[in-house]
Amino acid sequence: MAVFTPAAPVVASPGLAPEKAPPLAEVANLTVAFPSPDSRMSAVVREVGFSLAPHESLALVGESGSGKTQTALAMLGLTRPPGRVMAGSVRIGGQEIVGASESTLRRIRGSQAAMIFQSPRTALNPLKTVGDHLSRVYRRHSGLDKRRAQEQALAMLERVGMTAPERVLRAYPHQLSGGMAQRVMIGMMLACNPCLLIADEPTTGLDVTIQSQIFALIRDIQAETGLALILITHDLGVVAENCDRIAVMQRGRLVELAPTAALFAQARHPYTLRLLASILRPDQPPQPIDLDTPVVDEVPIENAGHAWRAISVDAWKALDATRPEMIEVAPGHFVLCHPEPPVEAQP
Amino acid sequence: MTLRWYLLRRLGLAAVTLVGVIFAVFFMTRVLPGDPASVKAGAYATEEARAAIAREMGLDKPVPVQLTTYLGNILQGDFGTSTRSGQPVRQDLLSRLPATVELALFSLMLAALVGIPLGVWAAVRQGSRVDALVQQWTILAAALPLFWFGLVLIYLFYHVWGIAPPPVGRLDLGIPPPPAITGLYTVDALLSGNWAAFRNALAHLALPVLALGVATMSPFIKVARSAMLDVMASDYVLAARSLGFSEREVIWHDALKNALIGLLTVAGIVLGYLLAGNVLVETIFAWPGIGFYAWNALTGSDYDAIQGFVLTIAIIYVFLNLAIDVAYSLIDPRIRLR
Ligand SMILES: Nc1ncnc2c1ncn2[C@@H]1O[C@H](COP(=O)(O)OP(=O)(O)OP(=O)(O)O)[C@@H](O)[C@H]1O
Ligand SMILES: [Mg+2]
Repeated sequence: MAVFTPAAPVVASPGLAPEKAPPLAEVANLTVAFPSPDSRMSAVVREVGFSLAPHESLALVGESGSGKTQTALAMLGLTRPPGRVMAGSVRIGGQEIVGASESTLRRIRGSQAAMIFQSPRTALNPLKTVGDHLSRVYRRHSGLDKRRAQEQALAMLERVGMTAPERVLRAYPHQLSGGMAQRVMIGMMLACNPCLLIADEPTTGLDVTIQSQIFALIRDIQAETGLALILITHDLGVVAENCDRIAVMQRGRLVELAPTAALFAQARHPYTLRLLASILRPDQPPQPIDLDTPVVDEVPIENAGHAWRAISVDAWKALDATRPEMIEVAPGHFVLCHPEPPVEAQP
Repeated sequence: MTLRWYLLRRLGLAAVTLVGVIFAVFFMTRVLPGDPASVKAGAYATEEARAAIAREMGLDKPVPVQLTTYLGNILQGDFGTSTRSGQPVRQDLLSRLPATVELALFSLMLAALVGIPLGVWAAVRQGSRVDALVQQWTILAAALPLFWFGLVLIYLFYHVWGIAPPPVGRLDLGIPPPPAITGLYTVDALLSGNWAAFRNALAHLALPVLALGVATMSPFIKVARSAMLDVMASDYVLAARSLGFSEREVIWHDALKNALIGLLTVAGIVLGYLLAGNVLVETIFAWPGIGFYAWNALTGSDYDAIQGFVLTIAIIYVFLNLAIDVAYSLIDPRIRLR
């Protein structure tokens, strides 16, 4: 079992490359679209692909609206109409998700892959107690009777580090703080005993100490259970501490995918560079992210004798004719590139 | 503790509202153009006759004195005397209220028990044929002219098919009303084990209830549908799905109760509307309720009767709202446990 090191230093962790173990999750060419105002389908996630090894943790970062949540939802078959998965495939534990029947999806959700959400308090049913929430999961996934399920619920609250668990068991969601609600969500997820956790900005809106407590809890659980993690976040500091690899998204595209250390050390895509430039300035006070002013527009990339350009998705308009490709610039380090013109193969 | 405070506060608020309504009714009848005394005296009465009537009605006294008398009377439950019936208004209203209440409750049940499932069904099948049909029905039901619809019902069910009793009153002439316990014939008949009266009362209720039930169904359908859509799009439904709960389980366990809670308000508004009595339906079916009574009072300038009617409706509204708030506080932990 791969061991996760808390507070991973900025050092490559080659043992965790996805090629070494059969992937737990495989996303290929995933395209999710919603009808735009003129009622044509417009893609919000476009040709996204990555894979995840068991026990690995992958960060999904990118500006607001870049399609992180939609990617995650599509992975559990939770894309909500009128949205639709237009193309691609998602495999979890070898089972195809795209186009799978409701009963197949139900077998995978929770028991194979579970998700925790951005706003934990609204993710709990306001009319049910915490005990109801947890024991329901135990009844569904472990087939326990009501009393045993309640006992397990109490034990789970202790496990996720809740103080005064007996009281919390009887509490309603509106009586919980955001941090407590997220612990309950984590407890519900854990009660399903999944192999993969997708955490969609699990600490947004929580204050800093609570944030680090929640991440510490997730790390402990990972170390204990070997759970693989997809962490969606805006916070690159959190990523550096918690994740083996980073996937950067812009405008629905995956633009760069690399081991954490490699990405921090030698990001190649202009968007990633901008993202890093706006955050990693130890010499300066933290600055608001200004993603509109490009640091650079494009980065020339030399790969196996071919010339490529990594171009910010914003600056693509003129290049519609050429299909971008994920180019492996270093082992495990992929950058979305356009071929350098002039090029022989015109469309 | 907090809940008790909340309820006490709500009760206080209801009392204040009632006092406001009582004052408003008093000043409305004094301030509005048209002098009750001259109306009562008739168009051709002499000035002396008018003054005598005004004196008899206490209208010659200063307003504060009038107000005191008026308040004193109301507190004693004296709403004055109807010029039309010559009876105390209170007695008139009390004898007619049960007819309206019975009609209102049955109509509410029909509207809610058909409307809510239709709305939920449409929401769960959003965008389907069912949804489209239900939405068309919502528009149709709301737009149906009540008067015409009532007549069509009578024509078909009584005249053509002969399966409904004659549209006159609450019971056939030959059937004596059950002993008055609640005043609702169906309930009283059940309580006294009088099956013939029960069946007959139900048969008489059927058509007016159908008319009013259909007329008040649309808000239930609309609110149930939109509340259900909101809830189905909520984070906690998504979270429940993400944990592997089936669609059916999510609907029954998570969505339904949350969606239905908002329908209490609709039920309150509709019941308030129904309890005010419906002139059209009560007229068509010769239903001896307060709507018909109020209509007669209005057209006959029967001031005490109008005042009494308005006050009764106001009291009903205030208590209905109180009851709805109490129901919310019992059902919704966010209110119960603040
Ligand atoms: N129901 C919907 N209808 C239409 N467009 C939608 C819908 N839901 C999401 N989108 C679009 O999909 C795009 C991606 O949304 P997504 O929620 O995945 O972004 P995100 O990267 O998670 O952003 P954030 O960091 O703000 O959570 C957005 O541009 C959004 O406008
Ligand atoms: Mg998101």
